[in-house]
Parts: sequence; C-alpha cells; structure tokens
Amino acid sequence: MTSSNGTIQSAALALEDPTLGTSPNALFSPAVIADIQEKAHLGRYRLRGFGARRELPSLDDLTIIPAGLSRMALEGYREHCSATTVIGTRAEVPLTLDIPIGIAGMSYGALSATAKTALGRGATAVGTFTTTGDGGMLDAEREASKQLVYQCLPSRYGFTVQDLQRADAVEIVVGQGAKPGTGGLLLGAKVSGEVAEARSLPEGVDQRSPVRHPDWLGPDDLVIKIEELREATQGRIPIMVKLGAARVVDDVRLAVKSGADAVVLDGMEGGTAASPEMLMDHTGIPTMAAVVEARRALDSMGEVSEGVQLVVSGGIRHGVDVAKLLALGADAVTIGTAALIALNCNKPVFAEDYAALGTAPGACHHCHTGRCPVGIATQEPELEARLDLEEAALRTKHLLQALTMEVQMLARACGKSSVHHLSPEDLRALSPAASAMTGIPLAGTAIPT
Amino acid sequence: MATVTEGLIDCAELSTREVNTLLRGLADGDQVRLTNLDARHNIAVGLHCQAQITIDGDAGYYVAGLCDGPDVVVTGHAGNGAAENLQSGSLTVAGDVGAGLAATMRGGRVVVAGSTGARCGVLMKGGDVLVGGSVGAFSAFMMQRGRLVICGDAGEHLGDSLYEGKIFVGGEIASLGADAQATPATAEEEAELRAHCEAHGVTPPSSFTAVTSMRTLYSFDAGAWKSS
Amino acid sequence: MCGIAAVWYADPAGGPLGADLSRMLGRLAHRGHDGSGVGLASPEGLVEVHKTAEGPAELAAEHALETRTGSHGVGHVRMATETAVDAARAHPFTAPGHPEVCVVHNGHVTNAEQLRFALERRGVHFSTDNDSEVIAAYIDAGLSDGQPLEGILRRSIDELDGTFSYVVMTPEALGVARDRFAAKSLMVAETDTWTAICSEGRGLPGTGWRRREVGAGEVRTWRR
Repeated sequence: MTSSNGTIQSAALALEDPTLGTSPNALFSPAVIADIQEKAHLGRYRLRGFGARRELPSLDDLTIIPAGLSRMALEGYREHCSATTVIGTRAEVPLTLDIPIGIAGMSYGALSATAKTALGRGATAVGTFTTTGDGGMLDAEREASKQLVYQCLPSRYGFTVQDLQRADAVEIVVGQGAKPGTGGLLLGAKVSGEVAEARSLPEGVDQRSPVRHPDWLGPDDLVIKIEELREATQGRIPIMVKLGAARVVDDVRLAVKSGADAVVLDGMEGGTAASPEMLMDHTGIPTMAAVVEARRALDSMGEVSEGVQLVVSGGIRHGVDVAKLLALGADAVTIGTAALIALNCNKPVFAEDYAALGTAPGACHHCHTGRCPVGIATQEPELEARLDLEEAALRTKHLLQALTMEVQMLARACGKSSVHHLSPEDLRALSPAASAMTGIPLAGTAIPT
Repeated sequence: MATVTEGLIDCAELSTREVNTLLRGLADGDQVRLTNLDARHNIAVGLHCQAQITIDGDAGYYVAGLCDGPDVVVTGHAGNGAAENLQSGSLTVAGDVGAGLAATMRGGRVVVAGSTGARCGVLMKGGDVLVGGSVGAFSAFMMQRGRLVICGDAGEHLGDSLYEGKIFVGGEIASLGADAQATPATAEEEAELRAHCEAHGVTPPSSFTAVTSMRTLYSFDAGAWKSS
Repeated sequence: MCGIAAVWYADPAGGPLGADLSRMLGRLAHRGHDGSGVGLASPEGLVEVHKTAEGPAELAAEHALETRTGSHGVGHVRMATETAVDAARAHPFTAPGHPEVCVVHNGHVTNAEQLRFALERRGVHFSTDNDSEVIAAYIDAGLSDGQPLEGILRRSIDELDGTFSYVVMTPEALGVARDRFAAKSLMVAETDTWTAICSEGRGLPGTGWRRREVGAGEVRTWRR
C-alpha cells in the first residue's frame, strides 16, 4: 500500500521492525528524492542563491582560550584594544580602517540600489569599506562609501576608467568561495532596464558571466594586468586579488607573485545570489581550512609577500568567527551574507511572500528569483521600497559595530591590546578534524613540560 | 623631471610611470610622439585627454588600455590587450596585434592593418573594430554590442555566445561559436563596409559575411544551455 | 606559468644561439622569477640543457651563453604553479632516459597524472612531479614508437587537457603546439634566415617583419 506521503509500506517488514515502514532512507533522503525528481522534470541542474547549506567543518570546532594566571587579561570596559586595520600597505594610499571587517563584493543587479547604498553608508559610519560587484559602480554607492573597493571581474560589466580612478582599491576577482571556477549568473527577472543598461546587455536576458578574464589568462599575464591597473591609478591605491578557496597554497602564492598588494580569500561558505545548486555545497574548501593554508603560503614566501595582507571571507556570522580568523592569520575579514541578514534577509516579515516562493523566513535562499520579500535581492521597485535606506544603513552600522565589540572583547580577554595580536596559540580545537585541519592542538592534550 | 619637448618624448631613460604621467598631463588637441619605447607594456593607459599620441615602433601589452578620449597610433606591432576597455578615442596599429585586441571595448574605434591573435573583440560592449588581416580563435566571444569587421579570415568559434553585437568577415570562417549564425551581408552593409575600409586605408574584401546571435542562449530554459 | 623562447636558424651551421635566447629571456623575465633554462642544439646533433632556480641573467653568466653558438634551441623563464621551486623543476624538461628530447612549456596540463600513470606503465621513470616533464615523456614515447614528430604534436592537442603552449626540440627538429583554448600566447616571427618563437611579441628580435600568434590547436614543426 502507499501512504499519503508516497512511501511504500510493506506489511511483512513492518512486522519485523515497526519503524522501518515509515522512517526515511538516510542516503536517499526526502531532500535527495525531491532533488532527483526536480531534475528529472527540468532536464538541467537546479539553481538557487544564498550559499552552502550543509554542515561543514567550521570555526565552531575551535575555542578561544583567554588569559588567567599565566598572562593578564585587559579590562573589558576601559582598556584600549585597537581594531585599526590597514590593507594594501605597499600602495601610496592603503585602505585604512577603524575595524577589521569590511563589506564583501555584491553586485548592483544581484542587490537593489537601496541595499548597495545602505551597505556603503553603514560601512562608512564605522570607518570601513564596502565593495562593488559584477555590475559596475553606482553613483549612490560611491557617494555613500568613504572607502570603496572596485571589483575588476571577468565580465567587466560597467567597468570604466572614471570609476577605477575614483575607487579606493581594486579587487581583481579570480573566483568566489560559493562557486570557484565558474562564472556569475543573473537571471532575467533581475536584468531590469537599469541593470541591463549598466551591463550593456539586452533587458531581461538570463545573464551569465564568463569565468575567465578576457585580457589575461594565467598569473604570468596577470603580472602585466596588475601593472596596467597600477599605471591607470598611478600606484596610488592597492590592487588586490580575490580567490575562491580551492587550491589555496598555489593560488595565494601565485597572486603574490603576480604583484597583488593584498589577497582576498573566500571560503566555500561564501554566499552568492545565483548558482547551480550543487556547486555551493560541494566545491572549494571551508574558510577555517583556507585561512590556515593561505597564511602558511604567505609566510613561506619570504620578502616577496612582505606587506601583502590577507583578507578572508566566507560564512562569517559573528565576532567570534572574526576573532578566530584573525587568530588563524587573517589581517581583515569581509562579510556578505551576514550584512544582508542585518538588512533584513530572512526576517519574519511579509511571510506570505516567502510562502509564494515556496519557502519561509529563516530558510529562504531565493535570491536568484529577484522576488526578495524584504527588498534586498531584487530589482522590483515595489519590493525594493520595503527596504528603508536610513534604517538599513543603521542596522549595517550596528552589526559591524557589534561584531567589532565582540572581537575586542575576546582579544582583551586574551590579554591583547590589538585585535591583530590574536594568534593561533589563543585557540584550541574541539574536534580532531578541526585540529588536523588547522594545526591547532586539540583541547585536553596539553602536557606539562 | 621629464618633459615633453616639441611634441616629442624620448622614453629611453624614462620609467613607464613617468611616460604615463607625462601623457596624463596632455591637454585636448595636443600632439605627441613617443620614441625609444622598446615595445614596453602599459603605455598610454588610463588617459582621458583627447590628445594625439604616436608611438614610434612597437607597443607592448595594453597599449591605449582603459582610455577614454585619446587617439593613439602605433607605427609597428602591438601586444595583447591593446585598446582594452576603450571608451572613446581610437587606436590605430600599422602592424599586427597579439591576443585580446579591444577586449571589453565600450566605444571609440580600433583599426589594425595587420592580423590579430585569439579573442579579438572578446566581450566587446560597443565601439567599432576594423582588422585588415585575420583574427584568431574565440574572437568576439560573448560580444555584447558594437561592430567587429574582419577583412581576412576568422579563427575557430567566432562569435560564441554573442548578444547584440555584429561581426563582418571578408574571408573564411574556421567555425562559428555556439549561438552564432552567418548570413551574407546586405547590399547596404556591403557598401557601408567598403566605404568604411577605404576611409581607414584598408583594402576591402570582395564581399562580407555577417555573423549575429541566434539568441537561443538568452534564456536559461531555452535549450542550448543544457548541452553547453 | 612562464615565458618561452625558441630560435631556429635556416642555415644548418647555426648562429649566435646563446646570445639570441638570452636576450629573448631577458625581455620575458617579468613572466616568472622561479627559474630559467635553455636547451642548445649544435650542428653536430648534440643537445645540452642548462637550468637553474635563478633568473636568465644568472643563467647566461654561469654558462657563458653570449659565446654559445648552435643550430636551434629553446629557453624558458618559470613562474612555478603547483610544484616546488628548484633547478630540477626549471625548464627545459628532458624526456626521462632521452635527454636529447627537451620541452619548454607554459600552462598547466590537467590530465597530467593520468598520462604519467600510463607512461609509468610503459616503464618511464620520472624524476619530478611536474606536468611539463610528462609532456616531454609523452612526446618521447611517440618518437620511440617511430611516430613522426608532427603527428605526435597533433595528437597531443587532443590527448593533453588544460592549457599548454610548448616548444619541443630534438637534435634535428623543433616543434610547437598550442592548446585548443589558445590560452597562452605564443608569437612567431620568421625571416629567410631565422625563425623565432616567443611568449610575447616584445621578446622577438627587433621589428619590421610580420609576426603571428600560433593558433588554437595549431602545430608546427621545423626539421633539417
């Protein structure tokens, strides 16, 4: 017989094990069954947004070990703990930040203009930077952002010399953590008239971005490309290279050899507004592992990597994640998804609109549809109007401020007067996997010498 | 401090940065000739002025890259990525060019008397490119807008995944890329192209083939994506 | 990734090979600081390979390249991608057991490990973990089977995956191949007296003659 949920119940088996008849299969779980049947219907891979959804080895498997008798903690409410962060110190005018956290690259197109502007205002309010994306630089975003990083992506949508020369840093994007080795995607619903014009595309096309840069292929040519960007900006601003975390040691070293002033490394937990579904959960390596490999790669290079900063992103949720990444060797971090959540992403409002997308607040990953119920990942004016610019900017500011306070609190507890003094010895691993991945000793294994 | 003397910059003793700084100081209508460049990369990059810049001999990679305004002439050959992202103004090359000529070009004009390597006009977003000779493989890959005129032959996968741009080829096309279609140029187009070639000192071929998008890749569910 | 140079003189008696290669490599030096090397063929059919983890200037000084003549040769500056920086992994790579077959390569062959396994089953003993050594062994295996060089290079376009622009030399021939993606530029200039091949046009000798890029999936050979 067939039950209402479609599973077949066998009377004979049910006699031997009464749970077998209705318990789901661990391998072919209901989610896997739905996935197979959806692809059998579509005839292609599935698409969605947001980022990795499955459980990955994470920074939660590390803990921070504060000061006790052996070293002195700093007073949390009084004593200074510097969060000042400088990126691109080899350039004439580096990015100089009051906090170690910036806003990652997200495109106008994937996000509404209001969302982009709010991120810029929020970042500026706490003395940090925001980053453009695969859709050029918005005037409103430039005006809102005291420090703005200009992405140079393979598509070069909306890329102009004027915007390059009014940027505070350039980020050459080689890959992103959510989908390293693949190009961007923006489905037609979001290719509005304005977005299409900014990208020189026909309105409403399902836009796919190339994965490779058009004018350089490989690090030997990237040497010359970076020099071109330096010439166009007269060596004034840092030129950074962003990598999706995959072959981290080789890629980080090659980015440095190519002349990058800073390396931006995005772990597999990093977000995206649209991607083939399987990539997000099954390509790249986790941020925790990536930062360790990148730090090792930089430290192995001697003089060549001196003054090259490491910026890490991918699934950062709170100040504890930030502190752990700084301890593992990051000079700064960026947040993307967390910033959108601060804007209202997945907030339990307009629940009926989430339902119309077949999802619910707290589980939404429908950025790719352009029907974002909270007005962030959309180009529809009536949805975008749901995001109040002032309030969104304030929430961005508040989140960045709170994250920084968390990092400072942890650093002080460890006896550090700068968040950049956090180091691997301030950590212990809580699982053998995290210990093996990071080289951090497993808690409980210290032996008196 | 290096200066421009009677419209001449001797680059022998100057760094690339010094050369570009001098070029940045040019005013609209200025004319300058660069000598002893030794095919150096990244010359005349990131300029806005509407000046006339002549490079004696060969130029390296990215000559006239990221420019909006100047008219740059190279009397010899040019390297990869020449006129990359050009917004307005022009690049004229008497010899041959490497790969990626006019990559992501947005406006202005590029004229090459000789031939180019692979990916000529890749991701073009506007503007007008005229190649007197032949172009290599993957030319006009994902071209979005603009016009690419090739008097000689085109390499493999011409116009792969192009959007709205238009390509004209005088010689043989080794193969068309995905979603590209070839049709004979119309009589009006032939006449216009002939005049265009002659105006730029390029000998036109006897006829042109037009290559445009079939637009089957415009929509994710249209079918062509699935096998690509 | 790297810079490649090669020279072939029409006159079998040869020309100023060491000086030509070292000048070309000097002009490609920005393409890699992880080593350099040359392969020099003499009119008598001898091939010598010199390589170092240093740059082309040090290489030229150490081996008095300015004074070396030869009939044809190859040169390379290296930017290490996935294997260690040392003299053994500098190019040219010689075929294991047949040092007269040598290769300079730019790119990364993504099925090199499968090819390595197949060649090891034929009894080839590799001395490094580098994908470029696999190309040298791959070509040598074909030559040992009596196949013509051009045919082997043509087959390599289909059988090597990923990116590769390479130049191979034997005592009597020079060959060039470029992958079907046309990933890494390789420019060729030819006169009646010489042919020069280089990753960048600016590495080619002087100006005044036509130059063209080796095409996607194109193969060419020169032979005495």
